[in-house]
Amino acid sequence: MSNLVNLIISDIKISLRKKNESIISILFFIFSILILPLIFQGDQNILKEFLIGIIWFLTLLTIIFSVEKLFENDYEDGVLDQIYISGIPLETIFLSKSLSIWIITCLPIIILSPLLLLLFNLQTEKLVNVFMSLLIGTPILCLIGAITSALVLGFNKGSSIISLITLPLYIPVLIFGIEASNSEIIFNQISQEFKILIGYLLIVIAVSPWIGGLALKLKYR
Amino acid sequence: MSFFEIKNISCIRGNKLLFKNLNFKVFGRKLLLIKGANGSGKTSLLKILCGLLKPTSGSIKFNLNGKKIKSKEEYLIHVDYIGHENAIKGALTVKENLIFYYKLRWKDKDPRSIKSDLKQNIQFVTEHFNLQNLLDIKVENLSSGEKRRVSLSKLYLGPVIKSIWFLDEPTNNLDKKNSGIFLKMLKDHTAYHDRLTIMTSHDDIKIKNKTTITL
Repeated sequence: MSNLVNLIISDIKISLRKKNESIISILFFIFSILILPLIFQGDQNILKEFLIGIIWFLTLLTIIFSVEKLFENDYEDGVLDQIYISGIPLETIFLSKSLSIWIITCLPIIILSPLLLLLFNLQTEKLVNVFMSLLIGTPILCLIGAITSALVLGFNKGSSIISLITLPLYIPVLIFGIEASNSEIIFNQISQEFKILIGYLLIVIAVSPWIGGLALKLKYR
Repeated sequence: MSFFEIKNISCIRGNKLLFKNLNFKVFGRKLLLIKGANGSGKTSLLKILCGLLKPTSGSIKFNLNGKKIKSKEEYLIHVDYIGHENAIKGALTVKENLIFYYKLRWKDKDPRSIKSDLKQNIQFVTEHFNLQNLLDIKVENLSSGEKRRVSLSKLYLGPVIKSIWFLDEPTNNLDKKNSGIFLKMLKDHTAYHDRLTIMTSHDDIKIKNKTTITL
């Protein structure tokens, strides 16, 4: 556990120091949403209809850009070798990297999204739904992205391969994430879409460290 | 009793045969120097021996104090590796890098016990490698030689000095004074019967108990 915390703290510290790299993905997300009224030419109704879908799509794009070199930098500068030699399980390394990228990239998106949606006069209930669905859905996207990032570690054209391999696995998260955001809470019961999203998250949490660990192991064969 | 018994090791990397059917035994209290031209497979052999790469064929047996080490996890406890790359983070200061690696090496210990020894260990390492004035400087602002010194200082970090050091051209970018400090480290390390250093280098290392392999 202390290893996991040590690795995460170090990653966050590095990311905060390299402000340009960490902020750019968040700025991309914010500006993309802010220019939406220009694209829809002020038609509020059409904009509101597509807004949540666009939020999810932009979140996916931001995560894909962020996980692209998740292991690459540590692999190239020899830090990954050092962590491996120190005897830390590859599963722990995988989990620490995935958690770091979620904290650095997704947490600001989860917090900012409802605030940005306030600008478009969305119902409060929907803002809560967007917050909750992103909170459940983004770890899934990060873990899936991290698996492929580990698989293509060392390949020169990693990013294009990542998008191709992971695209089918992202689609259920997008579908149920958007549906959950649009769903209504009846008699304090969470909707079916939320339940499916939580189920998907639990499966991915259970399976991804082992798959990610195996993918990293390929580099040490 | 030998540390390593290497049998018929071959290595192919990217369709290129680097070496074929290598056989040798390595004993403790020694420096094993791997020499060879560029691209001859020195780094690959080093990585194979320390467990970062698997050989294309052949087997390696490892013993420590007469006990056969069976699992990779058990083996890695005794191993330290300094590669071609310095493996230090440019965005972090020298002190932050040292603390990061210190904690990695104390992985199963109580964090409260770490704090008490951390200061002492970092102080020893920084004095040994003349890093006192560099502690609060970001690594990206250091010279190549200073970065190498920080990288080599990892060998003395943590609760114990590891039994086997794998070093890939460790004297790269070091000036005469710091090469001398490093040579003394090597002599100290190879003075113990249960320790071994395996390194690649183009330089001639003047040390008594040395064996050279040329690829």
